[in-house]
Amino acid sequence: MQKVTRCVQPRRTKVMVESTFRLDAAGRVDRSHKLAFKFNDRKYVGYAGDTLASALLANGVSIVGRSFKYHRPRGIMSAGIEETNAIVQLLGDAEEPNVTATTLPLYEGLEARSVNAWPSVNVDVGSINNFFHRFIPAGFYYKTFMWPGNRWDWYGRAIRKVAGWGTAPRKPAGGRYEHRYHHCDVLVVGAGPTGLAAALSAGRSGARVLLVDNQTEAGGGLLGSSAVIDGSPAIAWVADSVQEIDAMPNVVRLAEASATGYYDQNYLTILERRPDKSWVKERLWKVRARQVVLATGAIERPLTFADNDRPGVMLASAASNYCLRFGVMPGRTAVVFTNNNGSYQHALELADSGIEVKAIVDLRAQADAGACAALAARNIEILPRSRIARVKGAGRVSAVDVISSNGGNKRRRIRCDLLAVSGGWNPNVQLHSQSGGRPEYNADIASFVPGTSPQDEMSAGACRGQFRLSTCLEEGRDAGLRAASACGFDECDEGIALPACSPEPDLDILATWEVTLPKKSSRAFLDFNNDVTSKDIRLAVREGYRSVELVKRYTTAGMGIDQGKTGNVNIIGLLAEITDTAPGSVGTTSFRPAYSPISFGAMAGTDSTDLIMPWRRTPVTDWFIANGGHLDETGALFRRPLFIAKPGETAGDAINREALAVRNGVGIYDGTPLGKISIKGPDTVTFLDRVYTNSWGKLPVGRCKFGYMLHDDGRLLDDGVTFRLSEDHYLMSTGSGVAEVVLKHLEKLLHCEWPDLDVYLTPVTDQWAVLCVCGPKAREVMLAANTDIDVSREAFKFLDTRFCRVAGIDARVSRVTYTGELSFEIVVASRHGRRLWDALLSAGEKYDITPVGSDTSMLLRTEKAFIAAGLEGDGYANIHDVGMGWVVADDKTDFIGKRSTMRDLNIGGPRPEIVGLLPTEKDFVPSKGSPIIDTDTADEAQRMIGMVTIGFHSPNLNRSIALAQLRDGRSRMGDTVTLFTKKRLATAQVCNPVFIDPDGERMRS
Amino acid sequence: MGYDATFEILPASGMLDLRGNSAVRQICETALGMRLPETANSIIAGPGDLLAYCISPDHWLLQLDDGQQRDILDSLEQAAAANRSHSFVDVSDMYVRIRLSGPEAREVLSQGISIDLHARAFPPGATARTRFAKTTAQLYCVDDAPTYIITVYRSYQQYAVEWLSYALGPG
Repeated sequence: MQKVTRCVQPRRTKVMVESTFRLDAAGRVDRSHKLAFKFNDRKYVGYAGDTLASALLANGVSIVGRSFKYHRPRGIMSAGIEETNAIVQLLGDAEEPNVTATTLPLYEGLEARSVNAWPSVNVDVGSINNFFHRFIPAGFYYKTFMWPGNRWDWYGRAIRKVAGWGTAPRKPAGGRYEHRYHHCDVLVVGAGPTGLAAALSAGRSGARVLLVDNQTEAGGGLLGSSAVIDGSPAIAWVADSVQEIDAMPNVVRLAEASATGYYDQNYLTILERRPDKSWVKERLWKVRARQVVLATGAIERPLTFADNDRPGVMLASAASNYCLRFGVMPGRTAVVFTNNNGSYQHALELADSGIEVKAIVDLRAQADAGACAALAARNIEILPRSRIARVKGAGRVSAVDVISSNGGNKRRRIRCDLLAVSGGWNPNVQLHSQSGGRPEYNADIASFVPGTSPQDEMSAGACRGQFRLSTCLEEGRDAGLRAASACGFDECDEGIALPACSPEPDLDILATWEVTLPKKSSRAFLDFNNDVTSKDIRLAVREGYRSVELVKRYTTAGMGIDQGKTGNVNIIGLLAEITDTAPGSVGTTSFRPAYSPISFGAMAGTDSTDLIMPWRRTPVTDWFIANGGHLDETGALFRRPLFIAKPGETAGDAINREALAVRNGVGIYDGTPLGKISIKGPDTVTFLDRVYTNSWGKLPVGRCKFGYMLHDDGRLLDDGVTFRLSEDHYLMSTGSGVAEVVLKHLEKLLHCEWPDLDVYLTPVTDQWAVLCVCGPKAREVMLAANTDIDVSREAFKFLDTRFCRVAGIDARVSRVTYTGELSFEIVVASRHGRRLWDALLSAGEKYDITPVGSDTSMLLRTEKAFIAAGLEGDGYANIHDVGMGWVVADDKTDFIGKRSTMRDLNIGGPRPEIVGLLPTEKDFVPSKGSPIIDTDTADEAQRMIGMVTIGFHSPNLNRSIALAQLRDGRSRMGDTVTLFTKKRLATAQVCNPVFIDPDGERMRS
Repeated sequence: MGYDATFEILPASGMLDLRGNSAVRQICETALGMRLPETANSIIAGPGDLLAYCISPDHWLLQLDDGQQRDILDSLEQAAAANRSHSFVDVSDMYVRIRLSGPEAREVLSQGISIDLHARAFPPGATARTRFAKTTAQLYCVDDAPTYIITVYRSYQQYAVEWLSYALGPG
């Protein structure tokens, strides 16, 4: 075990006292508002305005997590979204994995624990990996878990347990995830000085502005800065700006809202945490912006030196931020380590906050004279041409060893508990990159800046590599004005007045990708999140991975939760150094959404509820729900009863009862989902002749006709009955599931292929309720329901359609059928549908009228071999194969699919023809899709000669039946074939597919 | 609690689906004394309760008092006697109208409608046929309360109601 196992946290009594690292007055926290919270089962107190990270620092908690691979103790490194170490599991009702403590606002009762540490952060079993680090180099997984090849699942499980981050919550989230669409003229991402200047200027022009920022309050870097604007603390300028922005009716400002993705046509997603409505946990804004201003700022990056991951090593800007924004000292005695002028200001801020800054260790030969003078005035020693060789202290920094080339490379030990580091600044170019831009290397800041974007987007301020406050304000103002002007808001041509800012020296950075390591075994971390060291990058290059994309994947550098926000540029720089190229030639890896982690709930929105898919109802659906209907989705989003079970009945019982009723008595079926298209216009007959295989010229008014519609390639599209209602008015029925497909097909033909045809289509499916009374006693029911026309066989023939009244309701009744029985299809306006259903049930009561579900209907059509294009048609079979050749008018010059159908006939050869099957075992029902095999053929490719398309137990025949596609099936009548089904062989006799009433006497009766 | 808006199902209205070339506009003026709107996604109120939505250059929805369908259909057909190039169909039962109103009605709708509903882009008098939640709707902004009339297909009525109830938040 390591020495770090000793607890370094201050002992706590039950009564919480003021934390020891809290400053008396500074910061933006509300000292009158205490908040109790728990971290790793210990109780602490913080203030309103704290983040979890600042509250932990205030309480002296130095170890907040364990690293991913080596389980090294880690402390808070940053004060923002870039945090790679302080990643916690939020507990309780708000349970959520992998939350960065640095962005999590503290609240009363907050409970969190470290991820990736067992049994605790201070005593961690996995830290044994730290001793064996030389045996787990980059690519370790690829090299080690390669054999046996099929055991990755086994390794995976074990690895996940040791190496995982947080755990997925077991309960649904408290609160909803909401989506909201939003449009604006100008979207400003980031409410730091640049973003505020942009939003103010664009807002004053009158444009619709959306300003989003991921912190709890606007101000960005100014929230934790000693900068002065117009002689006052910069934060006063922020407050004034926010007040003006919030008063503008044309500006919407969101706090705690991160732009997570930048997609095509200026479409961005913004995740808003804790929105204005109490029941909404997170809101995902889907924004379409005419212009986008990116003011996303920059993130400080660490230096790469030995043991740079010790708790107590912190980014210099973050250390200063904790003092100024939160009134928390991240340490008492500090050393600053830098390669640029920016840290001199941070050293001053630390010193002015009461931290003893012992020295500033500068890699450069010389720093800005003014900055040096200010430090000298506070007795801070400046050590030029110096580096940190070693960081002492496992659980927390206790001292650093400094080597100065000026001082003859002698080591000098300086005691401290805070090491504030800066390796320069990385502009946040991620969103720019997502928009399609390619970042370019800028040697002046030793980092990447935005290139040109193909979208209506501009970057301004620090995210463009401009770090001076005065420049940020100017660029923000200009970007806001340009964006508004591009949207036509060019009245306001001055924007905000530029305030006076305190002078700042140039960054003057010395690009440093790796500080000389003291020993071969020293480790300097580049990606803290995934435990990738500089040695891993060297190893990857030695093994042949030179492209940055390959190095990333091989070493996992930049692939952690932080997505390399602090590490990526250091990795690129080091790779350039090793391969002797320029960082600009190495280039960045591709940045992809999400910029910051986004919950699955936010992505799903209402799709995590039953609203994910609508389902459609007919006027009778409620009756079915109340009366034992077993509802299921049956196409076109309609839910219909498969059968209507009486108490105690099984599905099979109900289907048998319903099928027997239709064949022997009378049934009633809700056919409302049937697709209906009204067709009018002088060219309707020409149109029907072209889309159907048969001829439509002679159909009289008051009659209907069955038609088959093919695709261009001759395969089956849809079948149905079309009625001629009046001289110019036709009504086409389509299959329920393909109603919209057929409508689109027909509209496309009229719009694109035959614009000369004078035909108009109107889909009317929902206008009409369709109830079908079917069975030998159907006529009696029609009479009992007071149908006011002659329904006798002679007066009202098969395929007639009549306007009349049924049960006092205006109706159209047709003699059409899908069961093969005497049937009356009654169509009434939807509002009367339920009334008609009730009337028919009571009229049919004495005939024991039986409501029928769609499974029963499927059985009845199987008995009659009425073809279902979706089952018997398989994308290969043609209209002749399914036995519907009688619907083809060969004398027509053309119809859609004619040429392809003719081609099949001309080529000849075996065809998959529809036949009936009578299984030898009468109670054996072959399942849909069962192959029919030729047991005499050795050639496997030729063995399958057919397939069952549907099988049922027929209560009317008291045996099992099936329909099947069979190679040249019509010439095999009477043959016995072999089925392969449910892991065994069975036999069946080939027969005429029409099992009941082959001459159609019943339906014409 | 909940967004500050309410919705109700409106009583049935008559609705005719009109299709045809530009002559249909003349026919409508002759028969009903109103001109149909010319561009898609626009609306014109006629005499009485007549309201015409233009859906596409050859497609209109004509809303009228329930019960008037047959009379108005007859007068349209009469005026069009010389012209067979049209289709007038009664679709009164195909649609259900929902009225959503309140200061936060826009915030409710924008959870499921992706078009720009801001008063500058979709002011009173604006209409659009668009996606609403996961179905199709004819949307019409009536006033700046704001009040919207959402016309959905009848089979989707229950879904629309459940969606709106959920989107309004816990009530």
